[in-house]
This record gives sequence, structure tokens and C-alpha cells, in this order.
Amino acid sequence: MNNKLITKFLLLLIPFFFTNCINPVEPEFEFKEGLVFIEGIATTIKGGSYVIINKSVNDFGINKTKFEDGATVSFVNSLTSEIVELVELEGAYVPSIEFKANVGEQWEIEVTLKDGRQYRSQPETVLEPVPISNIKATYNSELQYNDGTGSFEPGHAISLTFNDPIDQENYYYWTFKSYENLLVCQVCFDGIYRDELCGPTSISTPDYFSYTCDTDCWKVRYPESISLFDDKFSNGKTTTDIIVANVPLYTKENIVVEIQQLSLTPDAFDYYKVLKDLVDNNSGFNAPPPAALIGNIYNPNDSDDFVFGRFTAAATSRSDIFIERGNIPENSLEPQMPLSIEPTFMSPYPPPATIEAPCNEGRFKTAIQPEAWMN
Amino acid sequence: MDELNQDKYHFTRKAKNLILGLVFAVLCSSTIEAQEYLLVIEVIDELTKQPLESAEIIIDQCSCGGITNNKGIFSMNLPQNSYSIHINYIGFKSETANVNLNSRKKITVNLVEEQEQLSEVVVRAKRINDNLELPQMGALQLQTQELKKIPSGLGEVDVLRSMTLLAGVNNAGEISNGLSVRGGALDQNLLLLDNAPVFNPTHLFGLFSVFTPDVISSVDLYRANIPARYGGRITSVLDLKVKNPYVDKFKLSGGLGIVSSRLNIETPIIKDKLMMTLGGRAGVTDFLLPLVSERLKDTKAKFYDSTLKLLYLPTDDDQITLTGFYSKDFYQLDLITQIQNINAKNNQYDFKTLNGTLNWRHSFNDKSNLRTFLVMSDYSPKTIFPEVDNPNEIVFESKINYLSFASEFSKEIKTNLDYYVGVQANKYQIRPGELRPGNGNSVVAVSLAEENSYEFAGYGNVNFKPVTNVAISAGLRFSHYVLVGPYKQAQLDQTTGLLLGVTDFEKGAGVKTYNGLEPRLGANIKLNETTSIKASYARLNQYLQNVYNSTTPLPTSRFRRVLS
Repeated sequence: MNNKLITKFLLLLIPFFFTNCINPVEPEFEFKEGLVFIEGIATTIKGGSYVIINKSVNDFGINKTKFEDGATVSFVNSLTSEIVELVELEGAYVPSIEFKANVGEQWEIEVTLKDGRQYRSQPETVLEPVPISNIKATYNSELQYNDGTGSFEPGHAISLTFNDPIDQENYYYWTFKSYENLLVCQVCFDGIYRDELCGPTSISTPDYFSYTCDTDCWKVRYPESISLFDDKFSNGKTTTDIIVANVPLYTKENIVVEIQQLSLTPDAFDYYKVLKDLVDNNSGFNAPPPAALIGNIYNPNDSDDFVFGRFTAAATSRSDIFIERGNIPENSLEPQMPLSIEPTFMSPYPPPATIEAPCNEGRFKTAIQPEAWMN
Repeated sequence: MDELNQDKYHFTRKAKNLILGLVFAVLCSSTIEAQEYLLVIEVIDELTKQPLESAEIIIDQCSCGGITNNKGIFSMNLPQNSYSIHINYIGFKSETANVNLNSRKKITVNLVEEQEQLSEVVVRAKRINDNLELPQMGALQLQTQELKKIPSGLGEVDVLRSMTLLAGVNNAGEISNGLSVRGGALDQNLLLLDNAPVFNPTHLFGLFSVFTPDVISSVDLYRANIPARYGGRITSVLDLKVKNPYVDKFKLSGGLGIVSSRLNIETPIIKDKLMMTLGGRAGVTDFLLPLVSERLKDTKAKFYDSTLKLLYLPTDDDQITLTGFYSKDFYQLDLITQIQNINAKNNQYDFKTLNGTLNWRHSFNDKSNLRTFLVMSDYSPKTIFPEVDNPNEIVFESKINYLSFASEFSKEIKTNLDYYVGVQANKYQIRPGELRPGNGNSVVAVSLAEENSYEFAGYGNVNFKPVTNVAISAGLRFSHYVLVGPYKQAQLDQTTGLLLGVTDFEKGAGVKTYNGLEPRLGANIKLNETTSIKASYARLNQYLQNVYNSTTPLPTSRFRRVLS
């Protein structure tokens, strides 16, 4: 009797060996330190070329990428072997301001990191640019939705018109730079500005001092996303008022938006398309499945050393637009800090009393007036 | 005089005594009336035995009351009396206590948590006996009454959602356009509504199924050995039947809902000869979406479906039914990835299904009948691109048109032996896509060549019980599929992908042919009243696939015929 009971019990247990629980599992992201990301662009407009090298790091438990300084970077003309050295400037490597690629040339990059690792890219041919025939800015008080604030943000949508050439496949990439009038070139918190640096002082200070620019100065911004387009459905047609950039109303200062239209090769387009799908089109039920992001940069000495990124040489058409923003009723997105000027008369702070700071030329600030600027 | 005075004195004294006595009596009585006792009420959760704070106490007789403190206690001095005390607490069942307060009293009231009592739904595989005695595996049948009892999102009765309660069936994500059975793809299920296939079974991108709930009479799901009369999909068959309108008087029903509103009519047209049922549903409440989130203010989401069934009984042995089904959706969503390479303000999705089934059933006798039907099923999804700054709309549209004719004879030879045999011919006409620029000139018109294919099938099935406890079902389906011209077949280099050449096929010429022999076997051995052992084997061919490059097929995903 007991044996029968035990047998029945064991038989009952059998199904449980084939069952399992379904539990939600938190995704685990494998983060590797030391991965190298290289993004380089050589364009046909002066000042438009750059290479950015980042490395993945874990700083105090936070996974991020960090600019890799001390590298030797150069553009190499694949046909003439001309070498253009790039210099480090505010988080990027840039060629001289006079450098520009020309249509028909083939360029590649060579990178040597400070640890000696070398990287090269496949050569890229500069294709014919497609001219922009019109540029337009349209203000929209509900330009884009901000998930963080849960509300719409105001700003301008920049749209272009261009005629697509009928005799070739064209792949477009749009990016932009914007220039806003900058009044304050330096803000020092809990300190004062001396010898081009903010530093502490023994005398108590307000929360901050603001130092106005000593010349006309412009803040330069770059977009958070890019726009892509291919002429599969519009070969030879005029594309009218296609929105290529959203310029949020960060401040209500007047602004020049400089749109760059790059003519990509099919390989470059495929790369940026995958990248855009991964970054911008990664949610919702119609999201494209993730694909491997394979660029054109490699380590010639170690085939197992995988490097992310891509070098792209592309003809660029540029179109600029000046936008007046003083009369826009909506509030700007960036909070405006009231001016707090260091006293110049009977100042308790160490001399010389300073109220201005220079407009140091860089990627994010320039004293060179944009061509389309209107006073 | 003295006597008179004496009498007067006596009278005065008596009166005084009487007044004093009366005053004393009144005083005594009012003292008795004012006798109060402390009533203490403690309210606790019966399950957790924790005190319930802020429970509401209402005492009828004094029209007084209050709420319990953080220890679940309410106390009050009340005159001696009988009291009826009501105790209420949100989420708990109300209680009433009767107290005869003739001394200091403490009562403890246990409140029971109130739970939504849903009626029981039994989802079972066919009838209990069928499940035990038939060799059919993985089959399930639900009737309308059972479907209506299954709780569903926002009060909408939903066939597909109900199916996901079954083992091996899920919806492959909250927003997916159909069912995934045993890990199969969404396009591997044959969804039939009165024999007409439904190519896009959902509204609102997968939130609700398209089938008008009020007119569905039964749902059969086959997940294992699919009967031989079905073919064309490899993981499951969901066979929905529309109610036959056996009615002798006009009936109208309907309802308004947050998501959709519906109306259903059943009526005789010619008494005992011609009857009709018509059900419809419309979801047009997208104007409420901004209440959910400001982000949804430009979102449009409208859907409609309606089903008509006419039943004609020309003779006692013949039954003719005509079923029509129409479903339409229109959406404009800013939240989803926009289609690139077309310059447009936004993307709008518009897709519709139009199905029709003409069915004739003739009974030769009680044991044999012939069923013949003609089916048309048309599905056309559209993506609309309104142009920027002008009213023109660019449209991309694809289409699938399905025509089918089938005839099936079934006969019960003995109580332990029955069979059916049938033939079926299907035509698939696929228009893979057409890009129409409208009045504008910003895109190039594209029209992909129409593809026509045919599927011919013959099938038969025998159910046999050689001994009492053994049942066998043996079926065979043979299908012949052919893709016919006009067709341009490209030859590509397998390595480079370069075009080597094109072969032209004339109208009607066979481009590609497949033959498929599909055995369907099932066996059942009943061990006792509650136990049986089953085994089954099935082989199926699928000639139509859904092609998509998103994580789940969209309503606008293209259907493709097989060609390799």
C-alpha cells in the first residue's frame, strides 16, 4: 500500500520537472571599458571637417564615453597621398580652417592613439553636391514633445527645397550649426575671473559673477539628431519644404542656422540609417529591428580589435538663415540668469576689477560673425 | 371659622405635599430618562486583524455617528436604548450591528474586504466528453456566452484576447497584430469568419480584434492536428462562426462605451424563410485622447466594423446563408516611427477588410449533407502622406484579394464511422504596392506588378471507433499551388546580388508550382471516465506569407506569395 502511494506521488511529481515559471527578467547590459568610437567627416566646406574620438569608461559607476585626447589624427588623400594633420580642439580633432575636400577626391583617415594603437579607414570618394534652392524657418509653439518635462517645446522648424538630380542615386544627410548672440562669455560660481580662469577668493562673493564678452560673440550649437533622405521615391523630382532640423527656443536671442547638406555614398547612408534607427527609431511597435552598426574603420595591425564609428567624406551644400526671435511670446527653454557684475569702484576683490571675458574661439563659441548675420 | 381655617390649612398642606410629590416624581423620572452608557465600537479588518481607521459609524436612533480613530475605535455616550449601528469603510462590505445599550458596552465589528465578484468562466476543450473521446488534439471551442464573460480591456469583448488565456497561445506583445500559437509567427494562423479569411484581425494596432462581438456565435481554435478541411497556414486555425438569425421577431440591442459603441439588429424578413442579423461597432472617441496625455492631441484613431448575415430557408433540407463583413481603421499617430524618404506632414494609416461568404447546405437525410460555399475576401491597407503646406495626399496602397470555392460532402455511416470529402479552389490576387503622387509632383509614381496564384486542394477525413475506447481520425489533404503569369522573374547572382537577366512569363503561364501532400492523423485511447491518451500527426503547407521589417507585423505589412 505504501509503495503504491509513493509510486503515485512520484508520478504526480513528474509533470513538475517539465514546468517552469515565467518571470520578468531585467535586461542586463554588458558594458565594456576601453572601446574606441571614431566619427570623422571631411566636407567640401571650410570649417566643416572634424574627427571625434571617444573611449568607453566607467567613472564612479557611471558608464559613459570620454574624449580621447593626445591622439595623432590625419586625413590622407588616397590618390595623391597628401596628408592633412588635425589638431585637438575642445573635444574634437579639426584640420586647419582653410581645409576643404574637393569633389572627386578620395580621402581616408589615420589615427594613432596615445597608447600606440593605430586605426585606418577605407577610402571615401567625395560625390557631387546637390545645391539647396530654398531654406525656410517656420515657428511652431509646439515644435517637439519633451518626454522629460511632459510638454511641448517651442522652436523653429527649418525646411529646405532642392532639386534631386535624375541621373544618379542620391543620399542626403542634414546637420546644422546654429549661432546665437552671446552676451555673457564667462560665469564664475563662488569665485572671480582672473587671468582667463575662474578662481576662489577669500572675500565672500554672491552666488556667481557674470562677465560679458569683450567683443561680439556667438554661441555655437550642434543638433542632437540628424536627418536622412534618399531619392528612391523622388528621383529627379523637386522636394519642397522638407523639414531637416528642429531648432528649439533655448534662448530668445536672434539666431543664424547654417544647414549642411551632405551627399553620401550608399555605404555611408546605410551606416547612418542603422545608427539613426538605433538611436531615434528604437521604440514603438513599428520600430525596425536592431542591426549591427558596422563602419569603415579598422585596426591594420590587429583584425580582432573592433572599433566603432565611420569616416565619411562628402560634398556639402550649405544654406544659412537668420531668424529674429525677440518678439516670440513663449518663454525660452533655458533659464535666463540675471547679470551679476563684479563691482569696479571700491571693489573688495583683488585687482584688476574685471567685468568682461574674451570670446575664445572654439567649437562652441566664435567671434567670427556668421555670414548670414544681420545687425 | 376655625374649622374653615383648619380645613383651608389642611388643603394648603395637602396641595403642597402633592406639588412636592409631583416635583419629586418628575425629578426622579427625568433622572431615570437621562441615564447614559458609554458605547465603544471597535472596527477591524477580518483578514489582517488590523484596526481600520476612519471607518464611518452611523447610529440610526440618534441620527449621530462619527469615524473611528487610528486604533479603529469610536466611542460615544448614549442614553439607554436599542441602537442600530451601520459601519461603512471603502473597499469593505458594510455591516450593521444591533446593540441594546443598558450598560457600558464594547462591540467589535469585523469588516470583510469587498472583492469584485466575476462570474465563473470555464474555458475547456470542446465538451468534456469530446475531449476525452475524440482523437482531436489542441482544439477549443468557446460560445458567445462564455466570450462575454471573459474580462477584457475597457469593457470590449474580444475574441483574440480571450484566446491568449489558453496554453500555447499569446499575443506576442501588448501591441501585436494577432496571435502567436506555439511560438509561431502571426501570419501562420488561419483566421476564418464564416469561412472567409481575415488578413488583419485587429483594430487599434492590435488592442482589439475586428470581429463584431455581438454577432459571433462560436469560436473554434485548432492548435495541433488541424482537420483536413483546413489548409494554407501552419500553426493554427481560428474558425469563427456568425450567429444564424433564427428569430421570429425584431430585436434591437446596443451600447455606448469609452472605446466603442455598438448596435445589433435581428429580424425576420419573411417569416420562417428569410432572416437577418446585422451588427456594427464604431470607435470614434479619439477626441478623448488628449485627456490621457497632451502628447496625443494630434492623434486620430477611428475604427468601424460591421457584420451582416442573411439566412434563407427555401426548403426543409436546404439552408442558404450570406455573410458580409466590413472593417475599417484610420489612424494618425505621431508617436511611432515615421516612414522615411517621403516628405510629408505625418503618416496616416487606413486599412479595410471586405469579406463575403455565400454558403449553401443541403441535407440529403439525417446522416449526410453537402456544404458548398463561395468566399471573397478583400484586404487593402493604405498609408497616406499629407504633403507639407498643400492639401495633396501621397498614397501607398497594397491589396490582397482572395476568392475561394469549396464543396464538402459529409456522411455518418454508422455511429462509430463517419467521413467527409471535399474540394477547394482558391485564387490569390496580390497587388504588392502602388505609390500614387496624387496631384503633386514630389514623388515618382510606382506600381508593382500584380501577382496571381491559385491553390487547388482535395481532402478527406475518416473518423472511426473500432472498439469502444479507441477512436481514430485519419485525414489527407492534397494541395497544388501555382503562381501564374504575367510575371517577370529576375535572375540574380547568388554572390553579388547583381541582376543577370529577366524571364518573362505570359498571362496564365505557370511560373512556379508546388504540390503538397498533407496527412492529418489522430488517435485516442480512453483509459477510463477521466483519462485518455492521444497522439496526432499533421503536415501543412503555407503559400502566403506576411513580410515585415518591424518587430511585429503592421496592418500595412505586405503579403507575399511563396516563390523560391
